[in-house]
Parts: sequence; structure tokens; C-alpha cells
Amino acid sequence: MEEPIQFLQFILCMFLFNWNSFACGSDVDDINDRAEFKIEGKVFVAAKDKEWTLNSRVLVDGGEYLGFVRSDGTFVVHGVPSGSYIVEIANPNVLFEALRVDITSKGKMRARRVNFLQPNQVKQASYPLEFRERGKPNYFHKREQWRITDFLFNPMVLTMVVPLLLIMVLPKLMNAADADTQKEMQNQMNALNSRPNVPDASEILSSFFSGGSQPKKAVKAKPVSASKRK
Amino acid sequence: MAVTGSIVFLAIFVGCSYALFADQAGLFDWKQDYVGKVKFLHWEQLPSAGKKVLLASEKNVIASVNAHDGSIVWRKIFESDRRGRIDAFLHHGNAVVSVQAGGQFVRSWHAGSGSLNWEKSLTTDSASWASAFLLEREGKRDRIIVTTSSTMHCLKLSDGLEEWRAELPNSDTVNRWFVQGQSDGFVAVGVTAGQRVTVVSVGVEGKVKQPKNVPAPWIALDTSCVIMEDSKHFVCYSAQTSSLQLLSLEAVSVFIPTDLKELGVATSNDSQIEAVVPELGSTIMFRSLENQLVLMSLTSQQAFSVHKVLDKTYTAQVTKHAEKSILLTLAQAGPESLKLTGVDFTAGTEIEDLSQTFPFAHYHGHPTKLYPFVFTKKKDSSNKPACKLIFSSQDYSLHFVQKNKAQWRREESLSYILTVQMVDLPVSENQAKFEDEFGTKEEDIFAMFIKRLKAQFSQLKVFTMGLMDRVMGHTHHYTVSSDAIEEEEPEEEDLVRDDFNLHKIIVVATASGKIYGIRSHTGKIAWQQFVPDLVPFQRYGQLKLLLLVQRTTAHFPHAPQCTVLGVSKQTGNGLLISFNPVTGALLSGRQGQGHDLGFKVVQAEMLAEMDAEFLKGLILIDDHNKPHIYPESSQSVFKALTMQLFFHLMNSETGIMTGYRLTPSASELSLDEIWTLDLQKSQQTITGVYGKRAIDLVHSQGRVLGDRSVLYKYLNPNLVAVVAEGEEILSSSNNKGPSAFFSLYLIDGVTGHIVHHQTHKRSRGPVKVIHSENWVVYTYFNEKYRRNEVGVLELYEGRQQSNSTAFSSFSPPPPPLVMRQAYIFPEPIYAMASTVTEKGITSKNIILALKIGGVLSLPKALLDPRRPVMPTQETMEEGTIPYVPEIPLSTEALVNYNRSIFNVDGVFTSPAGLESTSLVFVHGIDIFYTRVMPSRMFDVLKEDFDYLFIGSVLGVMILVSFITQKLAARKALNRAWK
Repeated sequence: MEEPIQFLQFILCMFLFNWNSFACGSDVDDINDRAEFKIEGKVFVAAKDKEWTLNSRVLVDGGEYLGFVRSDGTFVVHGVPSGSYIVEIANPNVLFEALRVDITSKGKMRARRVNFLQPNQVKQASYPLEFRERGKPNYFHKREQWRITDFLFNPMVLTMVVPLLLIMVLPKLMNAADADTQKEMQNQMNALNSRPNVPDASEILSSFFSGGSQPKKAVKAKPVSASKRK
Repeated sequence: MAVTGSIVFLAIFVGCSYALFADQAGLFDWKQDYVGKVKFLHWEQLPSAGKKVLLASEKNVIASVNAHDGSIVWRKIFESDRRGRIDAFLHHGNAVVSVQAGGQFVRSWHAGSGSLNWEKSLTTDSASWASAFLLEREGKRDRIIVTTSSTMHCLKLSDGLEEWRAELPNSDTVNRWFVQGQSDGFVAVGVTAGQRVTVVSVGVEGKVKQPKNVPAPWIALDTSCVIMEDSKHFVCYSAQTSSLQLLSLEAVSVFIPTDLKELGVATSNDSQIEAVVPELGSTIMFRSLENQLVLMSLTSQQAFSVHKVLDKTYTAQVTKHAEKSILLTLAQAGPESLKLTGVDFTAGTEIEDLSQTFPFAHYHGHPTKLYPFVFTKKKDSSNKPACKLIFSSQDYSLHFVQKNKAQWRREESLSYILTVQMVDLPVSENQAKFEDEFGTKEEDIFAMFIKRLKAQFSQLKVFTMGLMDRVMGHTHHYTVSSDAIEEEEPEEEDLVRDDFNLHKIIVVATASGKIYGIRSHTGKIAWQQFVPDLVPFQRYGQLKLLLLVQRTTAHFPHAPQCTVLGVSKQTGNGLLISFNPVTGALLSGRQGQGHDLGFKVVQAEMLAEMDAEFLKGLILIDDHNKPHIYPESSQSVFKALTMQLFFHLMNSETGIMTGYRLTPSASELSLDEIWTLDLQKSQQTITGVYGKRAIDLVHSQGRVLGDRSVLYKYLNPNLVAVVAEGEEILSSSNNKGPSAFFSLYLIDGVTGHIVHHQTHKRSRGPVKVIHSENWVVYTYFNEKYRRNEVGVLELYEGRQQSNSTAFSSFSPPPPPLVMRQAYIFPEPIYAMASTVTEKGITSKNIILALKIGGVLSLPKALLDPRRPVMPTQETMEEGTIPYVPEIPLSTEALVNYNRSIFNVDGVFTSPAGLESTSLVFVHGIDIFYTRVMPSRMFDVLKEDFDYLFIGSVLGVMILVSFITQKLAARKALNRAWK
């Protein structure tokens, strides 16, 4: 820390290096005397129009080897040396399951399900490959829409509306029943109203401007004015 | 984009992922499709000729482009390596045939829709070049002849059935064949680079006659050669001797040279044989200079004579129209305009109707190839010819011209982007005045007050003007747009920063020598500059250009400055081009030229210190390890530095990494070697060195654990990650062949100390690395389990921090704790980058360009080496996600939704003015721009925030409270009266 050279703010670097394009294919070529095979298969999509065949690409090992889908759904990928490959269909609007294809050095083909977790587990699939539509991809969130039913059946709204109904409707029912109870109710209501209500805006202001020495007065004044009104 | 079955949807991660709403598609993002530099172009023949063009490019793309507006109708992208190389491209009727990889793939496409008709594989040798042509027999063109290195095939155009094949001689050495059909068969000339040519004639049904060999040691694979129309002569241009080499195919003996200097024909690097001109007998069109073409005829004495010199002509083409042969030439008409001239060959007169003069901007270089389409005007009965014209130019752009107007153009060099920067736009004039107000300190209070008043007055003026504009409606805009049709780009809103600094200028430098400024908001090109001399650095097969922001937009009134560093095509020295990234104005040198440094550059970096004009200087190191400072004005700033600078150079040929010290205060600038590190070249090759980005800020020094203690991050700014790939030969008992491995080193760039080293056995690259904060994320292919994996390293100092103020490599903290984990990543990727934000508070996402076409935004929290296998109370407190071996991918996390993007070269991220937002730019054949919010939009209201609804609810509430108060008062009064 006490070095005469204090701290270093930057390190200068530059990329002088190459990306070795990894020569997997050529290696296999050397070993197997350039034997190359083809992968065949068919894609099944329920759609009637053939639009999907135009933007479908068959990717073998992520596009190292490419194939194109014909209008009847079949495809061939030529020039693939022996090895183990993952074949997938790239289409922006349809989902497919990827398959693994093993090609022996003699050209024997085997197709199986992709299992990255246990690569040695073999679940055979048919060859020539068959890709079936597994649904449509969902790229977007659904935007929340405001609907009146959503609002009404909201529990918060329900808890507020039901007591409100009780307060509004029940007294009406009782009123019609008996004159005495009505009077009793009236008294009860009066008692409720006589309590100091929420202070009026003008009262707050006046008490505020009248200074800190008289808050007690203002409080006292309230029940008086309330009783007068009655 | 498409997603395979390996993609798993897990509800738990939906919360982490950010996705768009369907109506936001295209609101913040844009994508532009390109095809690359055009190699072959045909005008579509059916259903109506000349409505579309079919083209094939150097980027291994074939496409159909609408001639009306230049939009892509359909496009097919092939492999980017040699399997996708397009050797021949034919068009007849409604079929397009592409011959690729030396004949390994012959595919026929439907010209209208782009669907695949048939596909054939003729050979496995993709190194040599194939040739193909349409065979005309009895007036019908329903066969194609394809020649691979060893065979000649006759295929039916309709279904690809093979009619016959012929085995060609010398197949093991011949690299390419030139073939021509004649009445009684074919004549084929095979080229063996550096050795000889083989001449063979093939019968109509594929019978091969005796081959003859002629030595030709000067010939190369790409030597321009033609077979003359009479099928009796073969002509090549030999660049070494600047001569035409003629071979008589009947009396095969030896090449007869014709020295072009003796004929008075100049030659240059552009020289080549362009075409045969059968209309003039045995004549060829020869390009002598970039703006000179020569028509040369074969004389009876087996030599050439100059028929006509087309001076000041960039390109020419002969077409047939209405029984007439027309020579169309394209020449410079003015400083910014070109002229097309049509000459009737037989009569020798100029056809006035074909002449066109149209504008052509200087930043496209000069035209290189002409693709005319001559047709008869249908409207008037005079049968006058007219011409649609497409031509390519030096900067790879494609231009369409009709009726003296440049209707559209395609900037195809945008698919060759090598380096990207995003530059802030300048603040508006008003805000600049405010800046100015606080900028100077000498003035007294009164002057400052006046300034403040002025500034506020001007602000008021702008506000009222804006208001007026809005009230007046768009009438103003209409007048502008009607005038702007003639202009190159219609006038857009000013280049002024927006409130959140989300709109930027994307500065890109391309391999063609073109530099663009693109508005990030719209994707439109704001400016462009073309420097024909600029070529990229070519180091170990990888192209590189450097783009440095020497002065940002923050230093008003100084203009921002960017510099591109490349190589000069002429001298091979370093070439600097400095420009203003906002306006595109060049600051150094003349138009279209850079500043030649006079030495070869090995390493370059920008100084951190600014000079008096807020300009950051460059340090350039030449091939003799001598440092240079650019510009001169930075020299004094550099001398004044008290600290030392440390460099390291990597030599991947020797595998040795060397550290150097540069002491600025020393009298003479020189590099002192201080350490070397041998990374074992015999076993492995270095494939990449990754430092941290300078703009990458770390907000939090540590991580709070479940027990409320802090785990401090190891934040060494000098740390670099070095990747070396190799192969180890296994013992003979295991006869599986060599197995690949790669090593990852974390090296302190100042002291050369290896902080961490690890090796992945039975794994191979290409290894992609992100190095940021205290972590490294890298992807590779695991050969043992045959799957893609992503590894993550995180470095921590521990529970104590050794020095919280500054990090010093010379007194390093104890070796860091390295936490690591690897995950299965189900998809292979092209490139990746991590998001960057203004202050580094927002959590990071990793942007991955998947090979299946999507751009995935993956939360870094999923790539956390602290994810526990067995979740406990403590880890739940900390908030780590339990370990799952496979990284789940969700289609909702694909930021480019169904706009698939293939063959991606790189991903660039940049912070925006909003902390929550990071800008993403993906480039490859296509360019794609979007913004991502890794922690969602926490600092602004959502754009779908319903102001009206909230406001009206509030208003109604206030109103109701007033009314009810009144009603209550009245009711109380009534009751009191009772």
C-alpha cells in the first residue's frame, strides 16, 4: 500500500488472438476417410398454408450443418460426417422438440430423444426423423385489462359493498315496521351525531390561525355548535 | 424465433424474466435485414420481368429483393463457413439455382416464394470451386451443367434428375473448371493453382476425350479467365507480368503472352478480365484501372489489339434488346453525379432514351458493377427503350436508378460491422446555456443574474414555439415533406438528447472502410463516411478495428470526438480517422482519407487523463515496442502523470504474455519489460484475453449473506481472463483420438500474478467469455456429455475487506475465494454480453444470441455459483435460487420475439440515462436494437400508466366529498328544525 507507485488505474490490453475455428469436421474426415452421410426427416405442422416451410431452417449442431424444409415438410441435410448431432427446427412461430442423431462410421443412423442430464439414457425415436408441432411460442406478457366484473368480484370491493348495503337497506326495512323503533333509532342517530365529528376545513384553519394558546377553546366550541344545530 | 423442447417453462422464473407486451413489439426495438456484398444478381423473369431482383452475396445469402422499394421478399441464409459459399447462381423462368461449396450442394428454389424445389449433393470436396451454366438445346433451357472438381453433371432444371455425368481427369489436383458449351459438346479448362491447366473436351452425352496439359505456373485459383465465344481460345490475365495469356484450345501447346504495356494499356490492382463481348467477335472487356475499361479484340496473329478505350468509365455492360446490342456505361458526370450512356453497338450511335444522369454521393466510393434491365415502354407506341439500373459500389452498397432518380439503395456494409460504440446526443441549446452559466466562475453576481434571465427567457420562447407548433397542427410538416422528397434523407427531429438519454448515436465501423452513425431510436442512418484506404487489422484470422471515444458529449462547447484505428490499405501502417460522432464531420485529414501514422500498430489504448480541452489521448505501441502518443497535445498531459502505466502484450504464436511498464516522467518514452508468463504454446493456443469494461461500475462492495454478515467482492480492476485451447493426446489404451481441453487463467495485468487457473478436460471451444465486476461467465462445449455448458466463477475477498478505498496490485489482498459452478445450457450460442447501466445498481442480465435465432435476456442470478443444492433457511434468507443443473429458457425472455436473427457476430450493450435501462445492439448479417430492463422499470412509470383514469377517479372523489358534505349539512339542518 505504501509503494511509491500508487494505485494503477488502468490496464491496457488488446486482443491479438484468433478464434481457432475448431476443426471438428475435418478431424472426423481424416479418420473416416471423408465418409459423409445425410440426415433425413419430415416436419409435421397442422397449419394449412405452407408459409411455415419458408421460414423453417433445420439446424444440425446449431447451424454447423443446415437443411431447408421442402413444401411437403421433408428435409435432407447432406454432407454430415459420422458423429452425434442435435437436430432442431428453427421456426419463429412454431415450437418443436429437438432430437439427437447418432451416425456410426459405417453410416448407421439412430435417432433418440435429447436428454442433457443423462446423455447415456437412450430413448429411441423413429428415423427418418419426425418433428411434430409442440405448440406456439409465447413471447409476450398479457396486458391487464380493466373489466367491470374483475372490479366487482374483488374481495376488497365486496367487503366494502356488503356492509354498505346493510347500513342503507336495513334501517329502511325497520322504519316501515314500527314507529317506536323508528324513534329509538332517531335518538341513537342523534347520539352518534352529537359526537365531535371530523373537524371542518374552516374550523381547522381558524384554529390554526388563532394561535397555539387556544386549541382547547376550539375543541370546546365544537360540541356547543353541534348541539345548537340540533 | 423458434424454441425446441429443451426449453423448459418454469413458473418460478417468470417473475425474474422481463417480457414485452404484444402491443410494444417494434416500439423500442428495430431490426434491419441485409444480405452482404452482392456477388451475383439476376433480374427476375417471371411472372413480370424486372419487378424483382434475385441476388447472391459473399455472406452466403441468397435473396429476392423488390425492385420497387428495395425491400427483401425472401431470404435464405446458409452456413457462414465454406459449406455455404455460393459458387454459381443461375436463374431461368421461375427457378433459381444456387451451387454451393464446390458442388456439394445444388439447390433449386422457387423464385417467387423462395421455397425449396429440389436439392442435390454432387461431391464431398468443398475446397474447390464449382461452375455452372444453363444449357441451351433446341431453343429450350431446361438443363444445367454443373462442374465440380472431379465430375461434370447434366441436371434437369425442373426436378434435378441427373441425365448424365462425366468423370473429369486430374480430379485430385484441379481446383476449378471453366466450361463452355458448343454445338458438338463442351470444352472444359481445369485450373490447378500454381501448376498447369488441363484442357478436355466432353461430348454431348458426357463422353470425355483425351485431356491435354499445359504448364501455367502463374495461374492462381482466383485468376480471372474466360473462354472466348468461339470456344477455341482461353484467355487469362496474369497479374504478376501484367499480361494477357492466350491459349489456343485447338492446337494446345503453350500460353502466348501479350504484354499490356506494349499495347499502352495501364494496369493496377483492380485489373481483371470483366467479360467476353461476343457481339464484337473475339473481344474481351478488360478493366485496366478503377475508372478505365478497355475493349480488346483477338487478331488473327494470336495476339490482342485495343479496340476501344472507355476512359473515365467505372463499369460497363453489354445487353441485348430488340435485336440490338447495347453497351451501357457508367461514368462520372459531376462531382456528385453519375451518367449512364447507352450505345448501339452495331450502328455505333448513342441511344438518347437510355441516357440518365443521377446524383451519387461521394461517400459511396465509385461504382463497381452494373446490372441493367432494358425494356420497352408500354405506354407510348413509339417502342422507346427505357432502363432500370442496379449497380453496386465500392462501399458494398446497392443502388437502384430509374428515370434519372436514385430510387433506393441498400447499405450492405452494415452486415460487416466490426466495432460499435454508443455516443450520447448533445444537450439542447437551452440546456447548454445552463451548463454555460455554471461553467465560468469569474463573473460577478449581476452578470450571472442577467445570464439566468436570458436563459430562462429563451427557454420560455422555445416552450411557446413548441406549443404554437402543436396548436397549428402538422401543416408545417407537410410543406417540409413535399420539398424533402428530393433530398437524400428527409429532415428529422434535431439530434438532441431526450429526457432520459435513451436516444443515442450508434457509431459503427465496418470491414468495408465505412463508418456510420445510426440513430438508435429509429435505426435510420444519421451520417456516413467512407474511407477506402481503411482496412481492419488482421491478426490470426480475425478482423478487428478499434473505435475509441476520445471526448464525450459532456464537455460543451467542445465537440465530441471519436477515432477509428485501422490499417492503411496502401502502406500497411496504422490509420487514424477522427470524427465528430454526432454530425459525422471528419476532423483529421481530407475527405475520405485518414491520418497515416507512419508505423505499424501493435497495441493501442486510450489514456484516462484528459488534456486542457477534455480530450483523452491515445497511446500507440509500434512493432518495435516503441510507444507513441497521439495527438501531440496529449504529450504534456502524459508527461505530467505521476503514476506509471502498465501494458501487457500477448504473443499467441509463442504463447508468451509479457508485461511492460511505461514511466511517463522519463525523458524518453520507452517500455520496460517487467514480467513474462509462458502459457505453454506446445500444448495450447491462446484464443482470447478479456478485461473488464471501463464503464462497468460496481455499486455494491459485497453481498449480504443469510446470517447478516457481508461477503466482500474481490474487485481487481487489473484482472484479465485469458483462455487457451488445446488438445491432449490420450494414452493408446483409450483409442478415442485426441481430446480437447481448455484452460482459463485469471491474471493480474500489472504484476503478472496468476490469481486463479483452471482446466476443463474433454471440453472444447469456441469459449465465449464475459468478464465483469467480480465474476467471469464462459460457455463451452462438453465433449464427454456432448452438451453446451456455461461456467461461472465469482471471486470474493472474504468476510473482511483488506482495503476499502483503493485496490493495489502491489499489495494484493490474500488470494480470493473462488466460487464456481457449471450449468447445462440447452442451446448453442453465437455471442454474449452483459448489460451495463449508468450506476451499476440494477442487477445484471446476460444477453445471449442463440444459434436458433433468438436474443435471450438471462438474469445473472440464474448463473450464480452460490445457488445451493440443498436449500436451507439461511440460503432462502439470502435469496439464492436452488441449484438446478439445466438453465431454463423461457420464450418470454427472448427480447427479439419472432424476429429471428442468424449469423450474429457480436452483442454490444450500453447504459442509458435511466438506471433501470440498458441498450442492446446485436450485429451480424442483420442489425437489431432494443432496450432491456433487468430489474424491470423501477424508476419511471410504465408507459401504459393510465393518467386519465387515475386523474378522473381523483376528480370524482373530490367532487363527491364536496357534494356529500353539503348534503349532510342540509340534512342536519332539516333535522334540527323538526
